[in-house]
Amino acid sequence: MDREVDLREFVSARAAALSRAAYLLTGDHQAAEDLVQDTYVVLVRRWQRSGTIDPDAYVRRILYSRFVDGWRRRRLVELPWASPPDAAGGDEASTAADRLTLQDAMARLTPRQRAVLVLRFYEDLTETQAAAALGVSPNTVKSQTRVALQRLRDLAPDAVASFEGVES
Amino acid sequence: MSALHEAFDEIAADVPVYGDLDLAVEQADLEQRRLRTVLAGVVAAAAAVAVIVGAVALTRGGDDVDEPVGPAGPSTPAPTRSQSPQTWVDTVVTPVGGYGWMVPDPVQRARDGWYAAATDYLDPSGEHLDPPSEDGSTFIWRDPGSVYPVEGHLGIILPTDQPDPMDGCDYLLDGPLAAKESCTDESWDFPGVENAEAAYYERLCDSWGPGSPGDDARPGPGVTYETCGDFRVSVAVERRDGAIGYVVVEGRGTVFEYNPFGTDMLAALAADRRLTLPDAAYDVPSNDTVTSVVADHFPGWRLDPETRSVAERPGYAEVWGRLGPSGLSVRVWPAGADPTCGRSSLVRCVERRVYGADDPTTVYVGAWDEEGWADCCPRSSRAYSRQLVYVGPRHTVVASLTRVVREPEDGIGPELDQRVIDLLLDPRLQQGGEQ
Repeated sequence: MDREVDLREFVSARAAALSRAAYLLTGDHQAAEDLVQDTYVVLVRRWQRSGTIDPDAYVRRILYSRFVDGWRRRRLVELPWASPPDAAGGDEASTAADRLTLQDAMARLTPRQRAVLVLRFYEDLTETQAAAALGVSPNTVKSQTRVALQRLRDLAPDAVASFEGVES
Repeated sequence: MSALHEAFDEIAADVPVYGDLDLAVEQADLEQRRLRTVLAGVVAAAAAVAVIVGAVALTRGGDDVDEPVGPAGPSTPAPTRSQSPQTWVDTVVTPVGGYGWMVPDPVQRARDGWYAAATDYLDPSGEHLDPPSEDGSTFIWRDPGSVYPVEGHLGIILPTDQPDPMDGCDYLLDGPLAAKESCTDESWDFPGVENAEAAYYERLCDSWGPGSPGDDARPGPGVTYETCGDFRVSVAVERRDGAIGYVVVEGRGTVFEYNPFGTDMLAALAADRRLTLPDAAYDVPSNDTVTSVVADHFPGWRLDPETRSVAERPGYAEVWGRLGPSGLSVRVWPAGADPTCGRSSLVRCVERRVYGADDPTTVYVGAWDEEGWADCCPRSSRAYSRQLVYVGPRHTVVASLTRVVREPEDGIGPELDQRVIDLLLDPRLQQGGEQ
């Protein structure tokens, strides 16, 4: 019973962050919801077994590995990031346009490139931590990050201009 | 905080909280129950695969089994039509929530009443019984003072020439009594029924310590608690209409100290009118018939010894076994509505016109990939789950295949699909049962 309480407390504390990460990865609300739900199912199965796990690291590994390994082949082709809504005016419109351009550029990255960017610059993980989440080497994270940032610059130079200087 | 972080924050600012943990628990439990149906075959397959992993690839990408699978045996009815990948016309099915094909069972409504009856007799305070099982024929009773639950099965059948719960110990025992085992039959008068039979089986623990039978086959000086063992109790009543209602419970400990249920209590449950089934349920082929049909189509298939010859779920046949590196199970129950496709772990769900677009014969084919097999399977391997469903004129037939492969090989190819579809369409699975 205590384990179930622990599980519920963990999910309650992490659900919002997981949801945001899933959305950044998939760029689609339905796909993000599916990804989070699938992650919960795997987490529950693991939680029901005996033994201890580091829930933060485990759930992150599930989420990102499912996205990179499994999600891509059946989802990403169907789910480009959302189409831009009608443009508004003024500063708000400019901000929205930048954001949408960034989203559009993100959609053109490979799943792994997208994952390393979210892990490194949204979750603020180190290369080593990001590597553990993806099951790859820190060197792979480093190189993928560099390539992903360069690709963003190529695809959306205006939106990415303000990120120049980001450590890669 | 980097500018990129701020941009990500802005993108994700309005994202709602996704996910439903309660639903995830249900999905996980459902998956476990489904996986259990093929677990024995798959674990055996995984073990076999593990032996060769150091020398060769886990599979070679084909669907070869441990014995060549030839054409169907002589007892197989000659098919009037043939189907193949060339005749198939697939339409992708839109997935909904859940896992695998969710196939309606029209008998389920009747079984739903069974749990209410079990609660009335076995747990009127509502403190001990777990929520009802998926099919309603199994219950788990827990005592807060014990770590071991009592598991029960209940149902109703018509008499056959197979051992049934009215046969008492003959039903409970798998063979001759071994050392430390005992079984006692009891007949008694119970109001409102023709006959009532009970059987009490128990197996006491061996002694522990050096020299115990488990160590070197010699009696040893170890200690055995007097109440250590396993028990199983069956209570069956023959009703006025000839049907047999029964309850079987099993748990840890000795039978008279740890069985929480009185014999009359179990008999009252077995005789309760809510323990009923529609006529269509008795029409389902027996496990033996299904076994024979599967073996005809797949001579290399090996029935798992855990498959019992007596249907533990009336109105439902289920057999499972190993087919080379795959696990293959087949289930049959009265025909109902068409299945819906669960999107969890979904790879693909299609509605397949097997004889071409102009013929209505349809088999539902779905593929899911499995997480959580790391405990059973070699590293870098993956288990693919494939379910094919045929809703026939009288019965629904579901075949489940699971294969462990080394990633990224494909698990199950169209050749195996074709043979499984032939199995699903076998007219013997649409004939009346012998229960």
